Amino acid sequence: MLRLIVHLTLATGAAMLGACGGEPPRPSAPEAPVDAAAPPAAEDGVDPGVQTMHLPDPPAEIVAPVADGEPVASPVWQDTVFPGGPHGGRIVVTALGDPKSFNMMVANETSTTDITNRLYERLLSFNNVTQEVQPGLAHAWEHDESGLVWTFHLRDGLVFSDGSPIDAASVARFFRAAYTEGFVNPSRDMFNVGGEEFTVETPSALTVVIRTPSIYSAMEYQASQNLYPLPAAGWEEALTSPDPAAALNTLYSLDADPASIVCSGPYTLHQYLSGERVVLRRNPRYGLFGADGARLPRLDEVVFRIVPDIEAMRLSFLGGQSDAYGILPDEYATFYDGLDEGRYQMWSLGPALGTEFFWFNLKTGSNDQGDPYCNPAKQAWFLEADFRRACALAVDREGLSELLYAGRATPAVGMENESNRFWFNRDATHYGYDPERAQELLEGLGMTDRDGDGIREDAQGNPIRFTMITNRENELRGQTMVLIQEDLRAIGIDMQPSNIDFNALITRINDTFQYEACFLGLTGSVDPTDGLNVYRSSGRTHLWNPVQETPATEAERRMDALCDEMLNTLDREEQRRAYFEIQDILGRECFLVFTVDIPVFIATGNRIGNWAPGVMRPRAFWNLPALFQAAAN
Amino acid sequence: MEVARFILRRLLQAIPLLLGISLLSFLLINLAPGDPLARQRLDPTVSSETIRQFEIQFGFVDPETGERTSWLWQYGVWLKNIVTDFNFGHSFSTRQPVWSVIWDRTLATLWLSGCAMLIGLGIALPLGIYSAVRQYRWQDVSCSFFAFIGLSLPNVFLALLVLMFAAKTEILPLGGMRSLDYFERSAGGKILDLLWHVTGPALVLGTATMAVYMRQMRGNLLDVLESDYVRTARAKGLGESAVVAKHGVRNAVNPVITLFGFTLSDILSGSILVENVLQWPGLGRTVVEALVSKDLYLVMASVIMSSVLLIVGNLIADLLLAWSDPRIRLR
Repeated sequence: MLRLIVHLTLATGAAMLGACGGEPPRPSAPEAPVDAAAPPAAEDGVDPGVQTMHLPDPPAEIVAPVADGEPVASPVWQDTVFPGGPHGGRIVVTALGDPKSFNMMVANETSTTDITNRLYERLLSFNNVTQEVQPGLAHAWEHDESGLVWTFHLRDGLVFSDGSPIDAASVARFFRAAYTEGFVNPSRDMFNVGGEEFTVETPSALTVVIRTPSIYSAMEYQASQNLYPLPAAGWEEALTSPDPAAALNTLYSLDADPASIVCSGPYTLHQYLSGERVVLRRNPRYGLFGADGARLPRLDEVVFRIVPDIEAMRLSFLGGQSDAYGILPDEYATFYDGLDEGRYQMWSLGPALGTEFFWFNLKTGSNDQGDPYCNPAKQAWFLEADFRRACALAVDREGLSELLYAGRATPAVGMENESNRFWFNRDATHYGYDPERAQELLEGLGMTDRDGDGIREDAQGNPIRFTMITNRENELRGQTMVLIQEDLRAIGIDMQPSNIDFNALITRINDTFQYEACFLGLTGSVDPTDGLNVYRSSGRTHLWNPVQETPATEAERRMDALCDEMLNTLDREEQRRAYFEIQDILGRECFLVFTVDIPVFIATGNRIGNWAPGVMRPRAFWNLPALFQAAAN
Repeated sequence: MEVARFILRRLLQAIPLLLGISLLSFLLINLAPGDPLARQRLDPTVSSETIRQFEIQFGFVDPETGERTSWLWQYGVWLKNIVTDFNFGHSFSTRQPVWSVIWDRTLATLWLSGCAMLIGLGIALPLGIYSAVRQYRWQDVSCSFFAFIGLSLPNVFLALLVLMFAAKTEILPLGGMRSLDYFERSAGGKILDLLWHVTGPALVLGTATMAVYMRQMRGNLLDVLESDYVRTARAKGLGESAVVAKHGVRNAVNPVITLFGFTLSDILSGSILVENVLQWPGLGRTVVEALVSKDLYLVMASVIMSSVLLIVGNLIADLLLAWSDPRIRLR
C-alpha cells in the first residue's frame, strides 16, 4: 500500500486562528502587571513587554482522498497564517559582510544564504517557528514502502521570474548540476548516501521521482533546505557547455548582470554594490498568495545593508536605518530601557541552536616525524572518562552566565537545547556544577596535591597542567576560558588559556593534532542529520579524535551504530530514540564538555508588520513574503 | 619628450619593486598557518571529498601526486599567469577574478583619499600661510594649537567621534558611501549625496595630514620671508600681499609637494581603519576581510593595487614639483 501524506498548506492553522476571533497571530502578551516603582519582574525568564514567539500548532497530517493514484492538487499556494497588510514599501536589514555569490548552489555561509534564500525557493518549505517541513513548490510528497522511492508533486502554474514553468524538469536540472563532475558544491554532500548519488525521473511535467540507493532519512528536511529547482535560462547553457564545471562555478557570480539572474523566490536581484548593499525587488510572478488572496510578497524592496561589524549593525538599527537587530545578551538591559519609547519590539526567542564546549585531544599515536600528537602523560588523564567528568563538574555555569551574559544564559545540557523542538533530549546524562564530586573523582584517579602548591599531581608526580586553545577572534570565548581556568583551579587543575588565530586553530585540531584541549563552538541546526559527522568516529569533525579507522572506545562504537540506525529508518520516532541515546552517551562520556546556551533576543522595528521571528536563521525575516510596511518612513 | 622618458623610466623601475613586494607578501601570508578552507573543515555537513576538491581547485594540492604544494611553487604559478594571461587569479570565496572584486573598491578609496587630500591641502595651505604672516600672534598660536590636536588624535578615535556625532545629530550620514535612494536622484542630487557621505571619513583622514602640511607650510614660508630676495622685493616697494604670494609662497611650496608623496601612503594606510569604522566600501576593508579569510589572491591583488597607487602618487608629486619649480630637472 502506498503511504500518502498530503499537507494541505496551513489551512487548519488558519481555522484555529479564525476561532479566536480573527486575531493576528501576535505572540501572547505576558499578563504580569508592571509595577512602575519596582524593576520589572522576570516571569519564566521573560520580562514584561518582551515577547516570545508562539505560532498556532502546525496542522495535523491530513490524508487526502486519492483519485486514480494522483493526489488532489490544491489550486493555489496560500499562506494563511499571517494576516493581510498593504503592499509596497521596503525593509532594510543589516548584513555582516558581503555575499560571496548569487549562486545558491555554491553558497555555504550565512552572509550569502541569507540573501540567496530570498531569491530562490526550495522544493519544500520550512516553518522556522514550528520547525516543521511544509509544502512549498511541491504540495505533496510520499515514499514507497521500501523507503527508496520518493515522489514529489509540484503545484500547477508556478513560474520562475522569467515566466518559464517551475516543473519536474527544473528539479531534475538541480540534480544534474549538483552531480556535475568537478563542480564543487555543498548540495552534492546533502544529496547522496554513502557517496552514492540519487537517480531522478520525471514521469510527468509536475511529478518528480527520486530514487535513493539506500534509505535516506533526511530527504524531507534537505528538500526544504537545499533543493532548488533550476530554470532553463543560464543553467541549461552552463550544463551543456564544453566545460560545465567551470561554467557552473562562475554562473550567477557577484558580477553577473542582475537581469540575467532568474529567480523562483519572492524577490529578484535588483542591484549589488560591493561593500554597500544588495537590493532585492519584488518578484511579480511569485506563486504564493496571502490570506487576503493577494499575491505575495507585500514589500516591494528588500535592502541588505552591508556593514563591517556588529557595532555598525546596532547603530544602524538605533538610528532607524534598519528594521531588525539581534541584541547581544549584555545589551539586553539597554534595549529593555528603550522599549518604552515604542520604536521597536523586543523578542525573547530562547537559547541559540549553536553550542559552546571544550574537549580534550584524545587522538593517540604520533605524526610522520614521530612526535606524539599529544603528550602521552597528559593524554593518559584525558582518556579517563572520570577526569573529563571532573572538569565538567567543575564549571560554574551559573557564574559564567552572571559574569558574561548578564545572567541570561542557561547551563547547557548537551549539543541540543530547548530551541530544538523535536530532537532535544532534556533527560540526557550531564554533569552540572558540583566541585566536591569533581574532587572525589580526581582523588579516585589517584590525583592528589602532594607538594601542597594547590595543583594536583598524578601517580607519577606530574602536575595536572594543560593548555587550552581557543580562537581569539571571539572575545567572549577568551573570557569564558579565563573563568573556566578559575573553576578548574578550584579543584586543583592548572589550565593555561591560549588565544590563537582561527586559521591556526583549525590547523591544529584538524591537521597536525598538536594540542591538548580546545574551546570552541558549533553553529547548530534543527536537524541532527546535518551534524552526524560530529558523532561518527570516522568523521572529520569528530572533534576529540577525528577520522578513526575503527572506533577507539565502546561508547564511540555504539554512537556509530546509532548514527547508522538514524539514517537507515524513515520512522521519526525511531530516529529520535537513536539520537536521544547519542546525546546521552555524549553527556555520560563527556567527550565534549558543554558550557552555557546563549539566549537569542531580537529587536524589530515598528515600521514593519507581521513579525514572527524564530531562533533559526534568518531569525527575523524568515517569513519575509508576509511582512508588510505598517507605517511610512 | 623628456617628461615621457622620465615617466617610462620610473614605471620600469617600479617592476622590480612590485616583484619584491609581492614575493614578501606571499611569503608572509604563507607563514601564517591555515588556509581559506578553515571554516569548511569545521563544518560537519561538508564532506572530506569536497574539501579535497577545493584544495585541488585552489592549487594547494597537486592533483597528480596528492602532495601539498609549496608556497614558492604557488607564487611561481601566480606570477606565470600574470605574465602570460594578465590573470591575477580568482578570489577563493567569491570564485570571481580578483580585479572584478577590487575595481569598485579601488574607485571608492581613490574618491575618499582624493577628498581627504583636498581637505588637507585646501585648509592647511591657507592656514599655514596665514600663520606665517601672523607669526607669534594669537592667530598663529591658535592655528598651531589645533594643528597639534589634529596631529595627536588617532584616526580611529576621530572616526568614532564622527560616528557618534552622526548618530546624535543626523547632520552626517551613519557611514556608507551613497544613500538608499541615490540612483533615483538627479545628477546634482547624486553629487550632493556623494559629498555628504564623503565629508565624515575625508575629514578624519584629512585632519592628520592637514596638521603636517600646515606646520610645514608655515615653517617654509617663514624661512623664505627672511631671505634676501624677499627683502629686495620689499625694498623695491612691492605690496606685502604681492611679496607673500609671488615670491614667498611660490618658493615655500616645494617641500610641501614633496611631502604630498609621503602623506599619500599615510592616507592609504589610515583609510584601512577609517573605512572599517565608517563603513566605507573601500580597498582597506577588502584587504582586512581577505586577510581574515586568507583569501590569498585577493590579498595579493589588493597589495599590488595599493602599491601601484603609491607609486603613481609619488610620480605625480615629482611631476608637480618639476612643474612648480623650473630649477628641478626630470632625469
